[in-house]
Parts: sequence; C-alpha cells; structure tokens
Amino acid sequence: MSRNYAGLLGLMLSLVVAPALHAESLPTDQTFALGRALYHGQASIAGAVRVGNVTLPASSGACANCHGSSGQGSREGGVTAPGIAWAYLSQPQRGQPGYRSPRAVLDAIEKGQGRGGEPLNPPMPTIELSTAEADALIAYLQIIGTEREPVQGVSNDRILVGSILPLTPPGSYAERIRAGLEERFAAINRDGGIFGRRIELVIEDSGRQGRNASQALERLAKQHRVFALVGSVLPEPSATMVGTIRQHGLPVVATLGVPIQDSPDDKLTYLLPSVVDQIKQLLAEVKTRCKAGKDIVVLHESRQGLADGVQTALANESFIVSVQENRIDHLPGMGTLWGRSPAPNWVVLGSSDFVGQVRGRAISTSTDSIPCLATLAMLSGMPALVESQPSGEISTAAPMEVTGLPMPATAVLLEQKFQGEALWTYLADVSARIFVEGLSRSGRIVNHAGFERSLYSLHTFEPYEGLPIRFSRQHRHGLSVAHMWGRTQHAYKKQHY
Amino acid sequence: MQPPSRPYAPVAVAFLLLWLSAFHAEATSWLAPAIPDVAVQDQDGRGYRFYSDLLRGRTVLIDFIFTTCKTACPTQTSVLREVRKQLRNHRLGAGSVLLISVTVDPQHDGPHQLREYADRFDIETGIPKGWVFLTGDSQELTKLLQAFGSGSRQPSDHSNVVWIGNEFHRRWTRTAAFNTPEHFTHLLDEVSR
Repeated sequence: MSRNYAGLLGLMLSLVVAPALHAESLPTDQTFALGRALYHGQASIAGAVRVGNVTLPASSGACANCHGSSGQGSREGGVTAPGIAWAYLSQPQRGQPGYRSPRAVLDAIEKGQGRGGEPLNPPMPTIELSTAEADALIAYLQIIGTEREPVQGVSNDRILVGSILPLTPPGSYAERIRAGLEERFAAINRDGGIFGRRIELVIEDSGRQGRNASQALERLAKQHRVFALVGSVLPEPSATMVGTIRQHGLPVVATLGVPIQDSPDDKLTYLLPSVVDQIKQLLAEVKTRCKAGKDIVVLHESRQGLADGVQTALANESFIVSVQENRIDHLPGMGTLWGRSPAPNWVVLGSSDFVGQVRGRAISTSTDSIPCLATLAMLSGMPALVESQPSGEISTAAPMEVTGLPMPATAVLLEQKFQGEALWTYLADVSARIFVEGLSRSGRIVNHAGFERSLYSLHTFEPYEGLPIRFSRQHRHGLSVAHMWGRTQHAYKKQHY
Repeated sequence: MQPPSRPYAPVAVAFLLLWLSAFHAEATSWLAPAIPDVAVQDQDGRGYRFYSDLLRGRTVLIDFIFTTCKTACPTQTSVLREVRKQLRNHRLGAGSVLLISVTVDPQHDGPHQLREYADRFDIETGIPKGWVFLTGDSQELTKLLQAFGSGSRQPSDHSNVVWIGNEFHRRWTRTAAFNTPEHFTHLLDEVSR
C-alpha cells in the first residue's frame, strides 16, 4: 500500500474511531448524577476525609458545605472558601496560575496541592476518591453553576411549580388558595413570565385534612418534577416528607398554615409565624405593656399540638399557670384562680367561645380591675375592639384586650375588605408574589441554590404596601407578629356565673 | 547557571517567621479575659454559671461554634476531638482539661441542637467526659462572647480563635483554630504548669 493510501486510510479510521472514542469518554447522566450527589453530600465518599492527620466525619467531604451549592464559594468564621466552578478554576487567580487539567484539580482534592502546586490550607481537607468518584466529581465541576447543569422543573421557556392543597371535599378554603395562585401566575405569564419563562402550576390534592399529603408530594417531586412548592398547606410535614424535599432539593416556599414550632429546616419557609413564636411575642407584649408585678395566667384549649406549643413557649416562665381544658366549668384547680386579688393578667389561647367563657368568668369574679386579657387572632379571631372608654352599666373590671396578630396590623385592616375565606386568596397571592420575587432576583440561570439565596435576601420586600416580608437563614417565617390593643364591646357587660 | 532571582523571598521569610512565632505563642497572664459569670446551659439542658461552675480551678480550652456552620466548625471540632483523644495518654490526663464549645448562635442553637451537633462527631459530653457544649440567653451569651472577642453580628462572622487558660494560675493564651492537635496539647500543658 502506498504511503498516500495508508495516510488516507489512517484519516478515515480516525474519522470513524475518534468520535467513537470521544463519545465513550463523555460523562453519562449517571456520572453527572453521582458527581452532583458527592458534591452536595447526598452520597457518601467511600474514602477518608482528613485535615492533616485528623479524620473528619464523611459529611465534611461535601464540597457544597464550603464552596457553595453553585460552586460560587463562601465565607464563614473568617475562612474564605474560593469558588470552584470550572471557569474560575481554570483562570489565574491572585497571582497564581489556573488549574491546567482535571488531574491538577484532582490533586487539589486528593493531595491538597493547589494552584502551581502550592499546598492548600485548612480547613480544606484531603479526600480519598475512587476512580468512579473522581471522574464523576470532575464531570460535575465542569458544569456546576452554568446553564448546562440540569435543574428539575426548569426549561428554556417554563418553570414548573407545585402546590399541595386539601381539595377534598370540594368547596373548601383550598379552592380559594388555588385561585390566588393561579391568578397571580397567569398575570405574570401575560407579562412575559420571568426571564422569558412561563410559570406553570401543578396542584396535587392532599385529601381530607391533608391525610394524603405525602403521596401528593411524591407525585410532584418524582412524576411532575417541579422546581419548587409554593403556597402549599403543609403546616407540619412528616420526616418522610422532609426527606423527599431534601432529596429533590425542593424549596418549599411561603407555605400556608401555621406550624407549632419555628421551621428547623432551611428548605421550609412559611408565610406566617409559628404558634410558639406567636405565644412568646404575646407574652412579651403583656409583660411590657400591662401592669408590672402582676401574675400571668395562661389558659389554653385542648387542640392538637397546642399543648406542645404552649409548653415550649413557656419554658423558663416559672410564674405562669397553665391548664388545659375546653370547658372552664370543669377545670380542676381553677377555683383558686378566679377572684384573686390582685387580679392577674390573662393569656387565653383557644376559640372565641373559650375566650368568651374565660373573659366572662374573670370579670364577674374579679374584685378589682383586670389589667389585660391577651388572645391570638389565629385561634379566636379578631375581637370587636372599641377605643372609647366604657360608661354606664359597663363593668369597671373590663380588661384591656391585646390581640396577637400573625402579620402586621396594616395588613389585617386590608384583609377586612375580604369576607370569610377570601382571606386565603389574599394569602395565596402573597405566597405567589414572594416566589416570583425570589425567582426574579436569582437571575436568568435558575437553580435551587441561587433561588434560596434570593429568597433569604427578602428583607425589604413588600408584596403589598405595609406588609414587609423578612426571610433569613435563621428565620424562615416571612411575616412578623403584631399586636392590637383596645377593649371589646362584649366585655363590658357584666356577666353572672 | 544561577537560579533566577527571587525578590519575594525575604518577604516570604519574614511572613514565615511571624507565622511561626504566632504558633509558638507563650501562655501569658496578660491575655486573661474579664470573664462574666453568666448563666449557661449545656447540651443536656443543665444550667451552670460559666465562671464559678466551669472555669474556676480548671484548665480549659474554649472555642466558638454554631451548629449550622459548615466551613470552619466541623474541622475545628474534629481537631479538638483528636486533642481530647491525645490527652488520654498525656501527662495532664483527659479528665483534668475541660473543652468548652460555646455557640455563637444562641437563638438557633438550644441544648437539643448542641446535643445533635456533638452526636454528629461522636463526642461524649459532660463535665466528667471533659467536653461541654454551651448555649444560653442571647443577651447573657453576648456578654460572654464579647469577653472572648467572639461577638459578631452574624454567626458566620465569628472568629476562629481558641482560648486556652487556667484560672488557678491566671495563665491564658489564644491561638488559631486550625492548628494541629499537638499544638493545642502543648499549650494546654503550658498553661497548667
């Protein structure tokens, strides 16, 4: 064979074989998935993670802990962890050359050799990786923080979001929430969406009293593959549900319903304050504004979770008396509470009927003026407050009423425009506006980490005038407790027991 | 052939000397902080007075953490776990030194969170075991953190300084958190003499 033919054959072979070899070397979806799982700590690294001769827990090997969920880097406790997105790694930084090859990056991870062979400082650990782990991590580092990184529920022209609502039986308040979410997203889409992407909403029914919420979440996360949940009614997601939320990295945004405790998980944000926070704030208000030196008696109704909330909120409050009963006629030991002198302040947590019973009994048995009677609007609704002083037959024992509100008072006045369950449409609209604002602030490249950073930057955002939303990594409840003061119309009539 | 000139070498040497001198800080009494005797709670909810119950008469190592910290604290805590392990075979003995990890995020870190944090590192806790994790009322704890120069607006801005002291001898020193376990053991030995 002449040299010319040999050369031609070689060229032809290379044209056939080279793409095949190249295709073989391209990372598979599984490789990216493993790299992503290792980076974010969702899969454990098989080898040791060490700083010097000290072995760290395997969870410390998750790159995202220090370098951020998008490889953007972070600063914490005086330590700066640099960005490790590929574009950053390959460029010179601070007088040091860029990493020349994937092998050089692996040397940094496995041997602690940084740019130009310089040793990396603690707390950067050395991490023993298997060949498969090394390949996967390098593959993922090459796409992290770019539009090449696939994000669940996000495509070029749409973002899919979900909401879990108790739509059974039909006609419940959940229908009003659905309407609020749909109307807001439709309005956004009419205006061109967010960075050209339409927002599409998928709603799953959590069933009667939310009994099937877990299955609804599974469908949204795994079948529909939504980007986030918005305005769901999920006051207390189970541990299994939280596991699913974390597994899929789903931000659960501005959830409606009120949990007992403050949200412990940075994936779960709520629109309204927790029960514990509302009780604490109410007690603080009573202590500050009511007559000093008076005892505070706390009564609460038998209601699911309320006892736990009261117990948590009253920790370290040794002067508080707490009893649990729905009918005050049958309260054991209550005889010593009525008619005490000096009269105590009352904090009454329950339905309006329960509050009414306590108010009436306290007024009728009190020999002197009751300083304050405090309630939560979330439980007993808004009392009919009047500002003018009582006169004539009105009892002088009528207490000053303080009502704890789960949102700024200005918003409550606004809500009075709505009748009954229309309030839920309003709250759903607020949730949708919060999601849209977070999405807008996170920019064109959408991912969960960027969105969450935006969400937690909402310190000065007002979806409606006078309704400031404040989220942070430490505080995941958007609205703050406010208080209303006055006397109630029905409190003035002397009742007889 | 001569090697290329290295104009940065003298500067680098000077920095190296400074760095080494920092590592070999002598334990001195003039560093002793004005320690407030504030009420604190450990990882099991037990209440203590910080000075009267925990510091008086003991050799202590005090560091500052928060349980949602992801960058500095896990390494810091792992290093201190190694310190405690080394103390078992040291002249001092594990029981004579109390490691005190104070949260800089008392609003989030209650006893429960501190207990979970310690469990994450498989740390046996309590005074008899030589390690307590502390939280407390925010205002009280702020006094404590400020006394040790670790007060910060955000938990993530807290300092990485570790304090090592013996109140009986009034000897205190402080050092960076990312030193070797041997370095901490050496300083503990020094302040207790």
